[in-house]
Amino acid sequence: MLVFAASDKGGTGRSVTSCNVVYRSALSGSDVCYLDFDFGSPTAGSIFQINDVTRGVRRGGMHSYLLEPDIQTTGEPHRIDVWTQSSRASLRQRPPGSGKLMLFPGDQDGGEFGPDKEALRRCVHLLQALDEEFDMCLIDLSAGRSYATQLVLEATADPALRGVAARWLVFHRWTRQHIPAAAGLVYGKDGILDVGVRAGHDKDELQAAIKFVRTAVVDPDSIELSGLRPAQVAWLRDCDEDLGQLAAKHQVGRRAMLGEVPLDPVLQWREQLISDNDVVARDIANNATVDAFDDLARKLAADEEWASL
Amino acid sequence: MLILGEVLTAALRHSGGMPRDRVEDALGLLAGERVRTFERPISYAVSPKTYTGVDCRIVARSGAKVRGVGTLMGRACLTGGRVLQSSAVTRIEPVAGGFRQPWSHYLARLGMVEALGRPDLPGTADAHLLADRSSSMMGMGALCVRLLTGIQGSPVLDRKPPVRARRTVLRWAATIKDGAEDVKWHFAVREDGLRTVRLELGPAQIDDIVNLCEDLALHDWLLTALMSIIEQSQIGVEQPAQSVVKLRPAVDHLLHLWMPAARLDGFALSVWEGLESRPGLSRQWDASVRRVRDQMAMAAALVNNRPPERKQLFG
Amino acid sequence: MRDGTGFSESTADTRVEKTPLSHLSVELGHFYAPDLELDEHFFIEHFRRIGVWFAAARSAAENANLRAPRISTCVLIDDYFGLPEPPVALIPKLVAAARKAGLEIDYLVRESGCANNVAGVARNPAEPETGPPGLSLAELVEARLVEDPPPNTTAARPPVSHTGWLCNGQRSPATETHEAMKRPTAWRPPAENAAVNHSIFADIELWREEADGRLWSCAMLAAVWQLLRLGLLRDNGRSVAVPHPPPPDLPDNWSALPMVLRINDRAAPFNAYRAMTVCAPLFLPIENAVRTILQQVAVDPAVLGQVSDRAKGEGISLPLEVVDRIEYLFVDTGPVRGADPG
Ligand SMILES: Nc1ncnc2c1ncn2[C@@H]1O[C@H](COP(=O)(O)OP(=O)(O)OP(=O)(O)O)[C@@H](O)[C@H]1O
Ligand SMILES: [Mg+2]
Repeated sequence: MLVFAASDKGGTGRSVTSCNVVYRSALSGSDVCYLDFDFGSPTAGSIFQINDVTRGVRRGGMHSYLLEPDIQTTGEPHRIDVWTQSSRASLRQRPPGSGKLMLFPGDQDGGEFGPDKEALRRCVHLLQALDEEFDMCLIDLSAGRSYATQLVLEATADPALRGVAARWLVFHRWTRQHIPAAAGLVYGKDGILDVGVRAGHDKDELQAAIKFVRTAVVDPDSIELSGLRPAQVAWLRDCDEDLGQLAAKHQVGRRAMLGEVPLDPVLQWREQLISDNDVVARDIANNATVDAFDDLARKLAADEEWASL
Repeated sequence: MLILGEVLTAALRHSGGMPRDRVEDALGLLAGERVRTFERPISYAVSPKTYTGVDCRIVARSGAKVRGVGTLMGRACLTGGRVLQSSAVTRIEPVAGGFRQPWSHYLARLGMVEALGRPDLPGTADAHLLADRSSSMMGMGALCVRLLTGIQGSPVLDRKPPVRARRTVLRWAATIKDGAEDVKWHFAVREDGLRTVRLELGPAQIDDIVNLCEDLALHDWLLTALMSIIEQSQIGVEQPAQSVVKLRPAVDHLLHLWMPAARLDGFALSVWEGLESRPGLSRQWDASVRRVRDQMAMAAALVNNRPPERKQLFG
Repeated sequence: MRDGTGFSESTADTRVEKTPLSHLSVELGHFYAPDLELDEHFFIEHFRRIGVWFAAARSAAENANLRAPRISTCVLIDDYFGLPEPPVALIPKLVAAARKAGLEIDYLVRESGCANNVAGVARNPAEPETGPPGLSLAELVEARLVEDPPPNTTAARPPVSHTGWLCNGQRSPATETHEAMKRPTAWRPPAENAAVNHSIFADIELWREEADGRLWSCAMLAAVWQLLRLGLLRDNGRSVAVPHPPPPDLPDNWSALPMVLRINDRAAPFNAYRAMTVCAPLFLPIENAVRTILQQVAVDPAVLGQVSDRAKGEGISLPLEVVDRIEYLFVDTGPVRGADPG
């Protein structure tokens, strides 16, 4: 299964949420990998806490794999085994029964590029090879209407990838700006559906494969907010309701949503994986956050969540 | 004489068996050339040979470099309708003088790379065998990937691999010495799904060496895939019924494929005989297969006491 | 399993068919539609001028210690780019003109046979067809192209053949980059791979996709033609474009004819160890393109081996490289016009 992580705006929590979802899937026994297709600023290395790769690798990352085939003598991109390479001790103990957790980093000095035919062909080959090996490949795309998004839309329309499940997560924050923006990325002019159809996808099928994920959501009823005055809570509730209506109007409502991740104090301060240790032993992260990641991981793999209407 | 090769091995992205004409479509790498197929003792199909031009550095272990110009042979084969392999092979031929010839010169000597200048052949073999998976002599790895991926994308496949496994790479170097009587070999399992084979032998057909190395790569892959399935099934940790669900792809798709040296003879057989005594590939395989069958038997016995689950497991 | 052991499977066969071979095949003309319209005098003059050189070729073969050299002659008719007058009119005109000039046309070949799949060669129904049917000779040759690699090319370089162009070196790089905010690259000249001091860079168009399918270039078809004459093409191991005598009644339609017509039934074999082309200097650029293509065609080693074994058996020395088996005489053959522009 291929999962594409997109968002209209930067800083939505796309990368952090994706990394955590991938991590939870691996813990539950699936072989998973994370591809950094955010060519302009590949930062997944820092979320997995791989030293030296916090801003991508010097050579052989996704970017040079796609654009400089001549120097890639193995025909395979650079990969990093998170279980053994992470500088974080709690990650280095791979629990028994867990699956592979592999990072395919970006290049340090990569940039956005207009993909040519060859890059497209190599992208198809890459996704095909990784699908042979992994239960789930998550591809983190650049924000907005990006070349990366166009590239994978064209790649997944290639006959060589027909029959391989491809699912889309569109991340957005739960705000007045983010909701229409996310809708625009999917339904708007030159959005994912538009470009997808031009690349040869069936519109309904593609639309059924796109779900939204709300990030850093504040739940007015949560215990964290129990210190608020009643007037504040009431105001929050009103806002939330407004946003719900706005979302429905923009086809970003509950039906199009796969899940939501609550605002988490740890993630607020640092882009990282939340381990069970952070929740249980150190008590710094919230259980609800991990539950949300688990829930996303489970629903991603559950075919019934993605059945077209 | 030095011959270098690389073999890439993977599960075919197809859920079931395939009729012969479909196999021929998938492996028909060259228009107008036949795919050869065999049914005995195990089904086996091999693509026509293809060639790719190179003009690049040939590096020796010492760091010395010479320019190599010529062609690599590439081909692919499918065993038991399940395991797909691609190979890149070339013979390194030292030639005097530092000039590159017109290209037709090299196409009259297919499957050979001429090393211009004075190459260090043993050092070249070392460089090929000791490199890690992230670099490949003359781009042999990339050629294997291109051949294999092309076939995996063939429209006759349903894109549903029976098992998920990483492709393994086997690199080999064969030194042919006219006087040599018996075969010397060394098989090494390295990290990252990389294996190496070093051969030293008397005059032999290159095709026979390729066949041997592909056969070694095939069985090493089978063993690797089976071990990883067993590991993920968590025998002894999970309930037998759970383990069996995870073991099932091995039973359905892998267990019947073990047939070392099925189509080999001569020196290749003697290499296999040696491998069987140490490290004893078939012994490890047999033990693993027994473990799988024991789990199946146990799960079946438990299920017999609780009939309703039976259908779900073996239906 | 090997030969000599007791078990074999027919689907595992790698044999290639043999074709009869002459010592030399001489091409007496490659006629395009504009020239084919001309009257008999044009052709008599053409063949008369060529006849001098044909005689020279024959005595050269005799000088090479061949007691009775097998030499066959052929002409190539362009029915691919143009539409010549019907066979029933044209073939007798050509044959008569050659005779009047003292030459015998042994084989007459339709150029479109190189581009379209050769139909009408009866195959033994007892033997099942192998491989995808319906390939043209041009496609068979295209599949065998192995590109001349520029320096510093490993096998990691993806084949660039899907463009329809083939060159003998490195093209001048594109000067705009794809990457955002990266500096554009400066212009660099093209370079020939096997240059001696200076480059003679050639970039050859092999085909172009048109609205009604692929249009092969004249150079590509001529390259196919040369390989065919040398007896080096096979389709799944079988010989292709086997010569046939013309039907008793010549048709109005070129496509109703076999690709290779044996006009003279006492002719030496159509295929030959070597091929000579006698033509006007006008055709030099095309033949240079043909050589550029042929330098990058990897002929099946089994076929090459078969031919060179037979040459050895006859005591003939044959160049290892296919392109060196083709000789040219560029001479004034009269006022030819060649192909239509475009
Ligand atoms: N659930 C959450 N609660 C609180 N903060 C969060 C949450 N999810 C993400 N964040 C924080 O939001 C910021 C942006 O997240 P992230 O880098 O994942 O966004 P992105 O969409 O990938 O951005 P970019 O487009 O720049 O790649 C980070 O500081 C991250 O830690
Ligand atoms: Mg990001």
